[in-house]
Amino acid sequence: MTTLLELRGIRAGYDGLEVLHGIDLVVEAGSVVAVLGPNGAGKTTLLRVVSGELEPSGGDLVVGGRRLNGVPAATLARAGVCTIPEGRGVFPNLTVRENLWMMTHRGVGRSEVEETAFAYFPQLAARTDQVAGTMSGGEQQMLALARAVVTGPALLLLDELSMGLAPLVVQGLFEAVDRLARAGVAIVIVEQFVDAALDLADRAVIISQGRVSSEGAPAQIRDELRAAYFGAA
Amino acid sequence: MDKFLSITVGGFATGAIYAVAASGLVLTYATTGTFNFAHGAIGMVAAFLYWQVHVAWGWSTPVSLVAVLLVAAPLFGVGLERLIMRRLEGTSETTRLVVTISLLLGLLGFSVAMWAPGTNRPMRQFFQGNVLELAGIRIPWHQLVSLAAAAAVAIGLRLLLYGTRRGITMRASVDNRSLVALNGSRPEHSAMVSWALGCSLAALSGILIAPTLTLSAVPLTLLIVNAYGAAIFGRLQSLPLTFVGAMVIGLATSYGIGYLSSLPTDLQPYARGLVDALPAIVLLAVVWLLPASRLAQVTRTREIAAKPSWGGAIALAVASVVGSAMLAPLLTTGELVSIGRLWGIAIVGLSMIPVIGLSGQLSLSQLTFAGFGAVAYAHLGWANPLGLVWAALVAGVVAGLVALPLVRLQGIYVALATAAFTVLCDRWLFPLPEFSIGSRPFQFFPGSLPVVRPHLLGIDLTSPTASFVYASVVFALLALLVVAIRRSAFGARLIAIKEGPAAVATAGISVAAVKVGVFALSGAIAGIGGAILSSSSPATVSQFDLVAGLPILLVMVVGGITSVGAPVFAGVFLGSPLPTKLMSGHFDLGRWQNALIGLVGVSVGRNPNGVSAALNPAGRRVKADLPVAAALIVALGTAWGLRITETISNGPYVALTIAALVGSVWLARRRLPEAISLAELDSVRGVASGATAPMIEPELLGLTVPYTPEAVAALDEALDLASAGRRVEVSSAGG
Amino acid sequence: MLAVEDVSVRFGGQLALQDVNLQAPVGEITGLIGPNGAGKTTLFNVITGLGSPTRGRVLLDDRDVTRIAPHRRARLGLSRTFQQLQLVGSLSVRENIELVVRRDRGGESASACATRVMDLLGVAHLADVLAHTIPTGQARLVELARALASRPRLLLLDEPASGQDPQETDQFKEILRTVAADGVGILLVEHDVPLVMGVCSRIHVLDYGRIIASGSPSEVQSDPEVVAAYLGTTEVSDA
Repeated sequence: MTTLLELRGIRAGYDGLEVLHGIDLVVEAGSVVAVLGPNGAGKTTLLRVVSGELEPSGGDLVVGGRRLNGVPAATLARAGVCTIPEGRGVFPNLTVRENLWMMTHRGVGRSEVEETAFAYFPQLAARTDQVAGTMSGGEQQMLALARAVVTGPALLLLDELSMGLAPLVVQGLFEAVDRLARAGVAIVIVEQFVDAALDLADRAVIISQGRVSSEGAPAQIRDELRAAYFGAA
Repeated sequence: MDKFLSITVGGFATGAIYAVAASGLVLTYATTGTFNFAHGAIGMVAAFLYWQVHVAWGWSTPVSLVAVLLVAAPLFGVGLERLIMRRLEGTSETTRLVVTISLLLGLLGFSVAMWAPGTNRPMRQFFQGNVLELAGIRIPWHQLVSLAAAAAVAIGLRLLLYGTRRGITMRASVDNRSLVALNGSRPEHSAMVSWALGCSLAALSGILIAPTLTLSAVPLTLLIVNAYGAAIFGRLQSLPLTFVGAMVIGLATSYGIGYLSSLPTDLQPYARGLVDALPAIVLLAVVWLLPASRLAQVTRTREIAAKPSWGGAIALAVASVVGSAMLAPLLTTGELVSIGRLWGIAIVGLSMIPVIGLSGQLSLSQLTFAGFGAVAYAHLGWANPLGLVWAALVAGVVAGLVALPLVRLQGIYVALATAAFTVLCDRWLFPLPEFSIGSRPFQFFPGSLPVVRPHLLGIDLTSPTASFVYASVVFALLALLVVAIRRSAFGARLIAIKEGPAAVATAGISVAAVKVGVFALSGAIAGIGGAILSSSSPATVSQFDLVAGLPILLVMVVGGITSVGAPVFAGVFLGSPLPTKLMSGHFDLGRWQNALIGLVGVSVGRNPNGVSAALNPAGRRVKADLPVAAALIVALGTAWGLRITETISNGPYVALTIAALVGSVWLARRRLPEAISLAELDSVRGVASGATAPMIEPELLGLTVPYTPEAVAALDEALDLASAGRRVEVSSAGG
Repeated sequence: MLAVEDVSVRFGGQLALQDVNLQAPVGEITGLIGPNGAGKTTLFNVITGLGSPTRGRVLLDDRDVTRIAPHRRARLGLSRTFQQLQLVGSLSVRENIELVVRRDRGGESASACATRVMDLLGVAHLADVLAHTIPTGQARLVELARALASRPRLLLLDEPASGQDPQETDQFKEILRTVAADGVGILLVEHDVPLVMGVCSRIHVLDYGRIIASGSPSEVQSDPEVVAAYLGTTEVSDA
């Protein structure tokens, strides 16, 4: 296995407040890493660093062997780092089709994009001209995933895909994520549905207060989590 | 019937041109979030340019059209985005609006300087003389061209925005810019395209409308108010609704003009202005019908309203009065008349501080409120200070009433509604012929207002010298009042409704009451400004119109809209011939004055806190250095002594004064043993010197605060290391 | 006492809150916890008047305030802090606090009141510092001080401990207890579950816009549905 993403001593923050105090993380090509931890620990900040939205104040962001600190998000996205940010990852005022057409930049045509997306999510095929904002939360996230799929990314960053969704819907979404993982896409997943994320993951890390507090196989991490969330009770 | 039909077709044709203009406006606003007040000015310059290449240089119509619409205008748009708009990120909506207002003035100034007004520049209609006869009415081809252009724009925009990836990305940028970047497109490219396209559409509307008016800068620029109405009709989002709005306004004005002559002859003069103001009325009506804006939560901007000290305020007040008293005897009566407007303008500038600077409500009506004050003062005719109180009362009540429907709205809508109110007053209310209230005849502006020279407790202040000093005393007192407001609990509320209305409301403060209050207060101050204006020279309607008010706002923003020093800049720059006189014989500054203000104005994006914030440290340095401060006072006194004894003339006097001011700052800076003492000065007083970056405690840097290049830059600035060329380079890669 | 009765909020096609009922008695600390996106901030907005419910009522001391403007509710004794800090950056800490002091309540002057709450929260040394320059942990305390300065009967705190370090959090617990002991009701939204468990007498758990559990800290902690909501187990049985 080759290393796709490597973070070395990443420090980052906002407005003079450092959130990440030196994070090390390695993601092998084709593997799934779950990033867990209480709210405010810095998980979203970590993803924002990897996606290029937030320039780290220290450390190295290495993708495919190249140090990419300060490379803009758009460039990273075209290079195959795809992100579904926290909230709904769709453009609410565009139709389903237009949301997909946004992704025609990696040398793929419109019909090709639609075909790939609808093959993954047949439900979307019936709603091509619906405005995305009027769909249910689960369908919106499905569309966001579909948009990620069509570009054939090397690395997919998922930030709280399940936020505000019912468990059954989340289950459906995670099945799709699982298919992506098996197709060879490396995935970094930040998730509050801890069990679902751990089921998918090859490896997991817990971040608390801006540092990696533990790291290991999913089974081992599962036990440590209860303490991290509810305190050592 | 035929008349009705042809007026209707004419209305649609005019509406078509408004639609072209408004769609450009909506396009740039929706995709970039910047409302371009200069949209009409861009169209105006394009029309002049088209005249230049087509009529003056004789290029053929197609070549001229291509040169203006497809080359010059888009290039201008791209330049605008790259050089100005892109740097405005992190500034408030007010600052962005002011930058485009600067652009408007700059372009207006540019066109006046390039194409001197007064010359007749005929613009032929497209296919002039060709008329289509249809169902008994005659339709000029130009109207058909306008309709076709609007249709083409509608179809073209539809295809672009819904059919191409670029267009879809532009629409996506409206929803969520960062998500666009995460999807591999650059939102800034979308912004560039939309500015280029917006400018082309502005140019097209300018070229279409110019032949139906005369080719004249101000009317063409203000035509944009008609397009604003249409754009607001579409809530600045929907292009189809914008087209509907444009047609409504086009038809309304067309019927208004067409049927004006059917009114009884004695009523016509009263209605004529109303027809001119129709688009403004539509705009006001639509704004009033808009649903309430959500209360915004705190947004971080680079703008900090520094708290003025009493010491500084009193120094300014004393300097204003003493300076006026020293200056007035030096001037001839003629010169005094020409600088008579200085303090009136300064007071109007002062009135902008509470409403715009502190509470963030971008009122473009301050000079109009001054107009109400001037009218009230002149009609009452009381020479004593009670006349000023009456002016303040009238203007304050008007301003409060204007604010009532605006309390639900934020930002751009406040600016547009007040602009519309001002246009309504400019075009209709102020120029109204005599009418009667009850049995008393009344006319706002009977030609010009009678000059009422001040009187105080039996002391005659009617000499130009005395009334100039009197005006400076009024200014000084009002400046102290504004500082008192800023330092009071009400001032804190003003800043709070600008920076965090949601927090204010949940803390038990009525945002609506504070807004109406600040409008009334600022209106009252502006009213006194108007009264002072009308106590020195005969005031006319045009002195209080929209275009006259914009430079004051601009100089205020450039000078620092929260600083009581800025109004003095505004007064000197706009109310006196100083800029023209200084350079006389070498360079016609007066002619370029507006272009220059505009140019400086567009730079406020760099330093949104204004020049005063930048000058503040210099002033404090001089004050902290007693020998230098004393030397400065001696130097200023000596220069004045030389002038009053006629030893030197005006030119050397001004030169000496400026040299003394600049020299003292330079000396104080050199004499400071270590640059760090200034930072100490700051930390002792616990104030940020108009800092544009978050202040960082030096001892925290690198410990609890990360060592970022921004932090180092901010620190350098605070310690004044940047100017000494000792900036420490910190690589962002460093661990 | 604050009471929320059958409140539902619908955004577009989605139900953000569904038949929410809860009470926050004066003099006690009531906790409101739940995963991200559960609707906690939406509920706060409904209570303070920044948002309006599709259905249901908000009662303050048995008075229906559902249709009353935010600033009037505040005058009735409802005060809040925000998840995203809402200090006025251009004003000093003291000015931020004096902003909300209402003279019609008690004879205390604005500056005396500001001094008192700053002392209570240990931020007196920041009095003359501009609010935009202070670090987040301290800024949270200042925001709380401002909320207290309006002499609330009920205080709504939206994640007041985020951005605080563990030591600050410990001090914060004490402050909350002191405030409650003074007869102020507190409704606390917080992600730091140990903090909530430590200070609250009663806890409501919000999940997908519904209250899934209410009770004492120990009751809530052992509720399988709560554990499932937090750790995201899709089946409840094995928790």
